[in-house]
Amino acid sequence: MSNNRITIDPITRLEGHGKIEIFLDEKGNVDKAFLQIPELRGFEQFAVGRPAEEMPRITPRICGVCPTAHHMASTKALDDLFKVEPTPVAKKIREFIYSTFMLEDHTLHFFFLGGPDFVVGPQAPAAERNILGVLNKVGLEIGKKVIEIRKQCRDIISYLGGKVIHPVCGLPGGVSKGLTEEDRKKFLEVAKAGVEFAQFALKIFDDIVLKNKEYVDIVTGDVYYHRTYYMGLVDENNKVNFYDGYIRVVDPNGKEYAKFKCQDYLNHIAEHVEPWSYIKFPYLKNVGWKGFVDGEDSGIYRVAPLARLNASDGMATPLAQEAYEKMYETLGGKPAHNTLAFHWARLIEALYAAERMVELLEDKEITDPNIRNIPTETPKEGIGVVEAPRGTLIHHYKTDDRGILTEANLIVATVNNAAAINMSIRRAAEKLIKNGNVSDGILNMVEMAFRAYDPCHACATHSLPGDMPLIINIYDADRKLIHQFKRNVK
Amino acid sequence: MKTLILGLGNELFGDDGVGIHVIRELKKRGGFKSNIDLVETSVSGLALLDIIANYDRLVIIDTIKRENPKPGSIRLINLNQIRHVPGPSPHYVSFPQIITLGKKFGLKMPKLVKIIAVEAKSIYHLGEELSPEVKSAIPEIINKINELIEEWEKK
Repeated sequence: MSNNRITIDPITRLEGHGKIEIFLDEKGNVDKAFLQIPELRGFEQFAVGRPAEEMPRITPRICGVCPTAHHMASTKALDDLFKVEPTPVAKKIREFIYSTFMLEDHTLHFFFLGGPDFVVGPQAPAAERNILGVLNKVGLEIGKKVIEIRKQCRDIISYLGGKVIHPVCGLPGGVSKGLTEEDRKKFLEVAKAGVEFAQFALKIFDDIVLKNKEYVDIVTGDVYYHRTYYMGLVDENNKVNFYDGYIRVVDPNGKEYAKFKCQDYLNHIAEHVEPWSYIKFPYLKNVGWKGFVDGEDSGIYRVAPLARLNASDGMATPLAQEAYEKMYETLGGKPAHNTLAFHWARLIEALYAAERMVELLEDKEITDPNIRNIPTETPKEGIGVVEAPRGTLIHHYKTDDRGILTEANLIVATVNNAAAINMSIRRAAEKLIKNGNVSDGILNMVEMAFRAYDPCHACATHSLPGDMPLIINIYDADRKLIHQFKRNVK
Repeated sequence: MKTLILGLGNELFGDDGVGIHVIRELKKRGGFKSNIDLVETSVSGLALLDIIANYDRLVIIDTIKRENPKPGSIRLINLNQIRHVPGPSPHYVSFPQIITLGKKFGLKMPKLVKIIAVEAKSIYHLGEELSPEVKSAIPEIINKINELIEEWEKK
């Protein structure tokens, strides 16, 4: 049994790439499905022996997708390590940079990366399901606008933090560069344009997805649905916050299950090991590991946009709050368990990020020159957290009293979601693959289950663009190759 | 005519950093004309658009991973030999797509593009060292770059 096997396996390493393996039973229905993600190896050895203050410069270079997230989590871990509180304006500048990054990342994802499935259509030929296909549908002007917003955001990050990929703005206790009044005014223009653009993106989502019954059925249907716990950072009013706050967990009914400081994460999160994966699957320690299943009794939780919205009581800015309410109204209440609604939540968060940029810049204190407190304590252990675009990100360092690392651990966003991504793939495969009937469109809809999470791993790959075939092998009960789908292979 | 020599990769991932190492070596040697820029970068996908815009000619040094690997071997690849891949990864915008996009957006994109693809041994393990095979390929890579530049400058 379970010898019928489908493999979706991009051969080269990629940001977020994973190998999907689907085992069919004798009737050609799905028996099991796994996502295997190549794990980043050697981080611990790489880090140990280095001065801790190098980490905010090194960790962003591990990942080319979310360097700013690693930089901030690392900087906050150093605040904790050296027991130094950043000055009020330093916190604001950091949050401003961080919001800029979230706006850029989220809008880019929607149009360029996640958009193809919805804008072009899940069953469209593979060759059209890409950004060029999106542009053909929404028009070139919108594409130009995305590129422009993205560039303006990156310019701000570069200006304040050195290069985007090598940010150097965060220091324990503060930041390296403040804002002048001129900067403030200039950035405010960008922020306001960002608010407008995020609203516009939500309108496109409304027009293209929500007004199309077929898409709404896909989003709200049972193929992409899991009742899980949800985790995200919240502020003192339980509103979504990307930069700081408490980690809050709600149960599948939306009731608060736990709320804790990131320093307590080991009391709440444990890791489960499976023989077939390098990844350790985090779960809620006090609920327990019950396998890859949903429900109140299973410790599996989700992170990232929809999870953050589910784990909060709302958005801290007015327009995003309005969009938040509309989403839950449409999806039939809170929490929403519809995996594809991650895309929707991502746009609501983009709007929040832009509104938050405006708020921070309208506060004139942001030009205060008092940008750093100098650390004086002896370091020992530090833990920092941010909400990366793809979910909760924790950096944890231990050092000797000279500040040389003796231990380092990262819990990255996609790892938090690893168990849920596996369940989502299995469920989509089970619902969609029947009697051995597998088409390109069906496999794409299986892939959509994991794309919604925007998974990202073993970061910063740069192997030659283009050389990335996707081969799907289907074996019969005797492990004989009976079909081979060669997608994107010459 | 402006030429960009672009080293792609991540020096934290062993052989993946070969493009970066090559650019640093070229900078050390010096002697390039003022119309030739040397740039190393760890960014990928769409972010490359900002970097390659406004050049006439482009040489990329990057790694490839193949089945049955011969680490350190070098191939010279033209743009039309790379597929327009709709990536299974949401973070992926393929290089030919970037060029197509740039043109669509009305940006000046390089007309001549050559890619020097270096076959990597190890790119999964964090570490700053190149493998001996890839390290010993650097002089050959530099020769290839010099040949290309010489040929282009004659035109």
